[in-house]
Amino acid sequence: MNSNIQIMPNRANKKWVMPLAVALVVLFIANIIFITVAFFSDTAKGSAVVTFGTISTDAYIMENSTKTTRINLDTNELIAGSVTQKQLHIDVTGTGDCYVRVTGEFRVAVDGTNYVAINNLVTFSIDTTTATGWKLLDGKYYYTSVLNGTDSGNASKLTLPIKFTVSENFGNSSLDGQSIYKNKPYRIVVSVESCQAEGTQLGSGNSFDHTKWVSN
Amino acid sequence: MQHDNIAKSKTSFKLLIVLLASFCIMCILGSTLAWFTNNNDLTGDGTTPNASTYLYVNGTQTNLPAVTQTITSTDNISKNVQFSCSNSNIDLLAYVSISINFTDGTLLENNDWVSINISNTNWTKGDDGRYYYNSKISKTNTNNKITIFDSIAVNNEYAIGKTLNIVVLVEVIQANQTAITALENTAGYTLPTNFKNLV
Repeated sequence: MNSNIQIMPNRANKKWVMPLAVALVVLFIANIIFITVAFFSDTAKGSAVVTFGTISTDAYIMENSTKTTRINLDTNELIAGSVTQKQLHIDVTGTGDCYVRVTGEFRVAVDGTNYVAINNLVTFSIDTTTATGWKLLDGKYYYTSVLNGTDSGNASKLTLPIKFTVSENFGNSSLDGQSIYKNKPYRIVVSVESCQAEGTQLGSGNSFDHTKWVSN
Repeated sequence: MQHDNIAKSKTSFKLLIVLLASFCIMCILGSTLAWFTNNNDLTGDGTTPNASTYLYVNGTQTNLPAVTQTITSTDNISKNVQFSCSNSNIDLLAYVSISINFTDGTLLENNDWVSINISNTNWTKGDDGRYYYNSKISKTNTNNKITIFDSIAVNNEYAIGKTLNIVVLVEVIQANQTAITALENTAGYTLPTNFKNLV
């Protein structure tokens, strides 16, 4: 080792080697600390998790016997007091176990450009009396058990009656001619998210803890 | 001997660098893919509902709710008053309030002197005095001009020489039960049964 120290300075064209080595050692140590924190921070047991397999879902609505990811609402379905229901289908297409949650938003661009959610006027919901096993927690609907590929096509778990309910305050009539939401562009977004079940420890049923949901 | 040691040290050093670099790359990849997630979005877009009305007198659009007419004889005076729901994108119900006055301030409370000829087939007069349109206006036909009345009947010769002021207020509302309930319970209108049955 001493011989190295004596010889290295004589090789002027290799001066980059030592700083590189030091940098790599520093990065090595930083990675170990980073990963340790990332894997251990929100788990009860101190064990790193490596999941093999894929987490993947497919979500769609059936219209005229055709799968579509487009939510078509007639303007007559957006008048005050209207309730429109559609069937959201979810397939678990990955090979790994996963948890699934669903959210929905109705956004209007009053100024024609910036879309702002008005979920208090047009409310997205899932009928959890029909969709058993689903629970509304902090504005998101969670399936409170682990799902996997064998659950695809299981209507009781993964066919969801989603609803859009338009408040009577939405203002579509000449009686309410000053409504700022009349004749404005709108967008609907329904998101189906999934995350790996292994290692996330959300639990199931009454012990389900949605706050442990992880996302990249 | 010294050269051999130098060569060995050099090789070991390179090996160490390669191993460290490989480990760092694996760690970076591993931490990036620490959690496996997936997202599917379903989307929709369009234009929110809109209801609009326009009034026409003898085919010309007017922004004035009042129609003036000077009486010249005891006969039917042609005066075609229509409305449309152009630019609306929802199914609608319509109703009209009409008041007739002489411009000298005399209020006509009955039809003794002057009346309007409004079609009983197309309109139903409610107990609240409004005329309710007997059909639902489809969002596909909102450009159609619908006649409210087409002439004024002068029934008394004492009206001759006076000028009438006919105020027409046409309103449209979304065609659903929520609107019917709002008109009855909130606005206090008395709706004819056939009008309520349109939704």
